[in-house]
Amino acid sequence: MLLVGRGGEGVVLASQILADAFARAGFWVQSFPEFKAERRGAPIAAFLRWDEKPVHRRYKVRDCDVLVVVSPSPPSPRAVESLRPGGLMILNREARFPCSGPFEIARVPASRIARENGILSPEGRPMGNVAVLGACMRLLAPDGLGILEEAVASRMGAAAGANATAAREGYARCTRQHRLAGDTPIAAVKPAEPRRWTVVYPVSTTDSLRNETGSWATDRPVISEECTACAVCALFCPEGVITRTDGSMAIDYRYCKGCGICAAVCPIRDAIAMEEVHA
Amino acid sequence: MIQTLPRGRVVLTSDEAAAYAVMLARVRAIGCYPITPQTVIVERLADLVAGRHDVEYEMLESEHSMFGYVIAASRTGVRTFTATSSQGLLYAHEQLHRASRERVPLVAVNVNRAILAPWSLEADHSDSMSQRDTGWIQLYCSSAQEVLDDVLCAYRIAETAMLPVMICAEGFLLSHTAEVLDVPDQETVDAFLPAFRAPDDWLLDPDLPRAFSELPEPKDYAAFQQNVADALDRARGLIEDVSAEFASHFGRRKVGALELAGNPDAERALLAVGTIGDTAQELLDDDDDLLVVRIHAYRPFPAEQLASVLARASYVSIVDRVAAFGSLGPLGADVRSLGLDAKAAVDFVCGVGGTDVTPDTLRWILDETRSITPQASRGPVAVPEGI
Repeated sequence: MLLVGRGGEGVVLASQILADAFARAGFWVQSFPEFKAERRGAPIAAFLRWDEKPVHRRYKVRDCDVLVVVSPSPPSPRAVESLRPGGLMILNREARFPCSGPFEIARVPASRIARENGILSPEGRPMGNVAVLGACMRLLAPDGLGILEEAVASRMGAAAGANATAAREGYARCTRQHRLAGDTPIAAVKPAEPRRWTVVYPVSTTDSLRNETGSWATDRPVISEECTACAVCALFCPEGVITRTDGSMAIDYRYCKGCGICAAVCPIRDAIAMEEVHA
Repeated sequence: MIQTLPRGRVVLTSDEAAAYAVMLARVRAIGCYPITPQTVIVERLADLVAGRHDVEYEMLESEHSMFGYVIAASRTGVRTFTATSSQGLLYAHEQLHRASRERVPLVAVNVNRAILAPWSLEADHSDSMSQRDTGWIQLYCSSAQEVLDDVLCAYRIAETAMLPVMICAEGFLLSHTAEVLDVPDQETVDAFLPAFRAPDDWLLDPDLPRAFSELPEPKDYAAFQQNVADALDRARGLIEDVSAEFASHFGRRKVGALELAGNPDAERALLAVGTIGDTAQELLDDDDDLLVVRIHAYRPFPAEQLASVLARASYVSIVDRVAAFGSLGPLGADVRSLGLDAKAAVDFVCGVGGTDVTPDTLRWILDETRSITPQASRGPVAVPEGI
């Protein structure tokens, strides 16, 4: 199983809880994450294997039978391509996912379930990870809801009660999606752009400006009319993306990671507000 | 609130398993400095020692100071622990030599991570294998259970041999991998691992002020180094004895220097360290003519044992998870030193920087070795990407 999402959404924890649940059912399990420098909002993956005998395969899952998308945004083409023919895709999504391929699709309104149960990140974002696990259990081991609740209870401390409810609701509110004629086939992954020079020295192979780190942001600062263009924010911005031009402040959102330092240091009340970025 | 340890059959990562084993070993001084992918170990330990007055937990300003701290703490007669990865281990290099040559029974976990440049957070053995000549005992794990068990065994080995032990576990592939393992209870551990009793003439004693590691005569300096070499040689038997005692005490298998799987009379043998040795067991499902040898205790190198288990093999594939610069990889060099002239013994380099080593990679390696005529041994061979 491959679980994908973004840093801060509880993807790794979800994988561990499911591993814990399968272990309680008597399976041998193996769950591990893949991330680069740890940071919120960056793409993240977790791998889960389970078997009736000890798991000796110790390498990343490159093609999977089950793809679980913890984020409320659609999976990347690369993630979809890793799903084997005949596999199952489980999405955190309310609306129909209009795509087709040689796999089944199921969806669960996990973010909505999380919001209804008050399961929120420190930024106030719904954490749908455990509701997604309820859906996984429904589809993979319908008798396993009880052990999933046990695993949630043992791993989530004070948040266990609300999350056990989320697991039950995810289990109940998961639906399989039938293929429709109008569904677009999944597009093949675009091959990587040709490198500009041969890799001999360990320097980045593309212009750093093309790495638009603003895509990691889950929130972004928005400047209001209260702003006096004092430029304190520009002084503190760790990315150097705020500039004063013609007497007003401008933010280059291509590289703003949404850390919120500008809003925290702003001496004017209401001049900078952090707003959620919608996928 | 003082946290309790899990017990029995549970799902834990190797980092967590290491932290719990340290608490079960009743460690009294912990030196730490965070570095991915080891950080979870010292984070868990911070949680576990919170509110306790019988454990000193020190965050130092660097790994160099951190090893200096545990060396000094150990000298007061307490059991110590520290953990690091990659650049952290390299930065502490000078202290590693000091620990073994001063005969300090440290136990440290190194979560293997590739080294700069360029940056990588993922696993290979370049960090710890480049420290193989520092006089430490080195154990390489292939599961979270082995990490936990090795920490407990390591204190017995270290405090008997009066040598430091480095337990190596690959980053992410072990450190962050949650899997099923068994956590023993405190009473069972206490019965296996009594309190540390340091030799009196080695301890720091305020009533007997002395200088340690003073400038000796050259012949005395040489004699001290020979003592370290002799102690490492004796540790080979000690590792087997402690492992056997552990197995009977805890009632589960415990690998000593070598883990053997497959056909002992096979014509082909595959030698690896760490998780590659575990993945290689997947090949045995449909291969009767293969012996998989996982080297668990890499220092002291189990030369005689290896020569004996390889006696019947004609084709020996040696798998190094290290970038080999200018010569064979470390494992390749060690194994070739056994005098395998009559065999095809080839050193392969793969899995560097966390690249995948799958059963297909290992089948390619076995085929490649087979294609070489005996007496034409070679290496290191870089395994092509994406097999």
